[in-house]
Amino acid sequence: MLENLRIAFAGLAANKLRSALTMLGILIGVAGVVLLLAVGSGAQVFIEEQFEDLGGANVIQVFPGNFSDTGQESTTGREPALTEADVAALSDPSRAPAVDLVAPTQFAQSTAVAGGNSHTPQQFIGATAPYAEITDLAVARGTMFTDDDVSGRRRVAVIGTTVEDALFPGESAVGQDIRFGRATFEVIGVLTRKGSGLAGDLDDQVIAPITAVEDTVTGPQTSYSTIFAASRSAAETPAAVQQMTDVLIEEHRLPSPDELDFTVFDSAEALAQVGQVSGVLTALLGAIASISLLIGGIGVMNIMLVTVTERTREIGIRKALGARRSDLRNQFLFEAVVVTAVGGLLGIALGVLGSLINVGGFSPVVQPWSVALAFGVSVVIGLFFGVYPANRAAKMRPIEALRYE
Amino acid sequence: MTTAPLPDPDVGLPHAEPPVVLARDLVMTYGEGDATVHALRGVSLSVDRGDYVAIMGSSGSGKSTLLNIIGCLDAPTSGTYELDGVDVGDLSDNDLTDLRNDKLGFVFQGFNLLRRTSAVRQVELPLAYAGVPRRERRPRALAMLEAVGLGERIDHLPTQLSGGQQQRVAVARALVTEPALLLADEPTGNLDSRSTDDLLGLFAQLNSDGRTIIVITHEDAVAAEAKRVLVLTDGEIVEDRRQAPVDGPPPRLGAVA
Repeated sequence: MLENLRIAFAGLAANKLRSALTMLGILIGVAGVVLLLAVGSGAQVFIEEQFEDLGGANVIQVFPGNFSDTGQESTTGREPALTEADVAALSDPSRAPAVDLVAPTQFAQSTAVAGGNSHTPQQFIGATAPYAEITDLAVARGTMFTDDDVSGRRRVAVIGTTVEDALFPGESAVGQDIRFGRATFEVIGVLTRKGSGLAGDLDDQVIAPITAVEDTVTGPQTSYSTIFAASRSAAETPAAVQQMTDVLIEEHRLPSPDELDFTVFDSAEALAQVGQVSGVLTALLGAIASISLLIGGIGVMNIMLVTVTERTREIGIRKALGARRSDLRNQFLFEAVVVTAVGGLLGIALGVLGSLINVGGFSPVVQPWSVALAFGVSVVIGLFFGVYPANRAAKMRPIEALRYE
Repeated sequence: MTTAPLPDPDVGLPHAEPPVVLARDLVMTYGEGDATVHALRGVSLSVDRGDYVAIMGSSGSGKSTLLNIIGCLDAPTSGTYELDGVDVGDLSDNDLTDLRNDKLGFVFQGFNLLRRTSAVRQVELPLAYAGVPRRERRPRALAMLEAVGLGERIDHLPTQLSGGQQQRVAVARALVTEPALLLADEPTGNLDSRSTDDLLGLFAQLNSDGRTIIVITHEDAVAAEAKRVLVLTDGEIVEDRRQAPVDGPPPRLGAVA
């Protein structure tokens, strides 16, 4: 056995270029599998982190209108809307016991000016006080606005660091004034830096009391842009979604639960959906890489068949000298497996090395199981595609093998 | 019965020592119908231990077929063959392989050395296949290379050796397992006259040391070295000539002495 392994190594060394090229096929295949699976799971991790940034698994959002049927007008004949009555109903613990916090929001679009600087934040959100808690926002300096600020319609704002840097380069924004059109807001807090994610720069936002925003920027609206809510716990999120849906059906007097004029969306579900999509993507990438691995395997078989034919005379000599069938089979099988195993190891090294490169803002994550899998598969490929040529060598009749020129 | 000078493990046992080669009525046909070729038409042959036999014949005489059967590389269409007392007729492929490894040493016309394999490794190979532990292989291979007069060039590759030297490596490889029979197929066919003479000298020495040798050749000069000459024509033995007694020295050494 050991002797056959040694002979196999000698056989490979005798044809270095050929062995190297055969190895390359497996190497690329394995590197591809490792790298693409790493990219896939890296994307998954990245997306999951993004959702955590957005507030975690107990955030629920309600949008006016039905996202699932496109272009179809509401059966109630009204423009879909989320109103103050809806917020009150959703906040009623007897009707939606799984819901903890509710915050209506109004999205505005306006350019902020301070001194000689101006900046249009990506997000300008008018909200009620619980919004910060629901979406896990915290102030680094100053304070968050309160229920009093909302009911008092005070023109105060909390801004992200990107906005602060743009409007007040080199100084603190807290206590300073910014203007949206003719309205002046006092900055009372600066948000803790969050970095950027799927939704863009999370620090490029301004939050202000929804009352003040409606008074000054958006004007009175028939509907909220989005109602944010938080369930009591991640486990109660599905129940909260169901309760909110029921409450809104009742409030909107909808004839059937199949025809909603609003959309309830929770990040756990969204995460599951995205996870599913990225899982499919990972599987697809893996499948593509597997095909190249398969082709590499066929390359191994091809070369092994050539090798066996080319070395017919050697096989004859070995048989005449006393090599049993199993000796020859093992010799050629070892050659194939050594090629694929070494190719596999180099491929793993290349794949791991390649995964250090940052792709499109996220880093691939090499899963240990994918490394083990890739190595296992490359050895199995060597066995699988080596068996046929090796058996062919083993079954050669010595007399014919010796006669072969 | 022969009185071979080799140490015999069977000495003292009641049965007689079998001939190295005992073939009865070997028939070999290839193909079918009109295309049938009769390579051997009933050859019977007995070779005793210590003999030195030359099998002669022109190409197509069946001598290669006979060699293949004696060498257990091919099975006859009919007839029986015993190698050193073992009937090879019913043996499996693996048993035949082990038998070749144990009882036969081959020397071919084309040397048939493995490329890119040093002389000493070539000689170690049959021992490896025989399952001899690694530590024992090297000294045995070196001793055998020494015996064939190649003590120095042991690490050379076949391409770095002359034809005569390559054939000596092949002889050492054939003999390292201490086989009952050395089978040589046109061993001088690719050698110049000086190397031929050297090799024949080696064969004579080996035979006088007790080795049983069968040489296939079409050269009279080679046949003249043997103790016994068989001439094969059209698949039949047409002449069986003894040139020296089985238990004496081969002609070359006999003449010197």
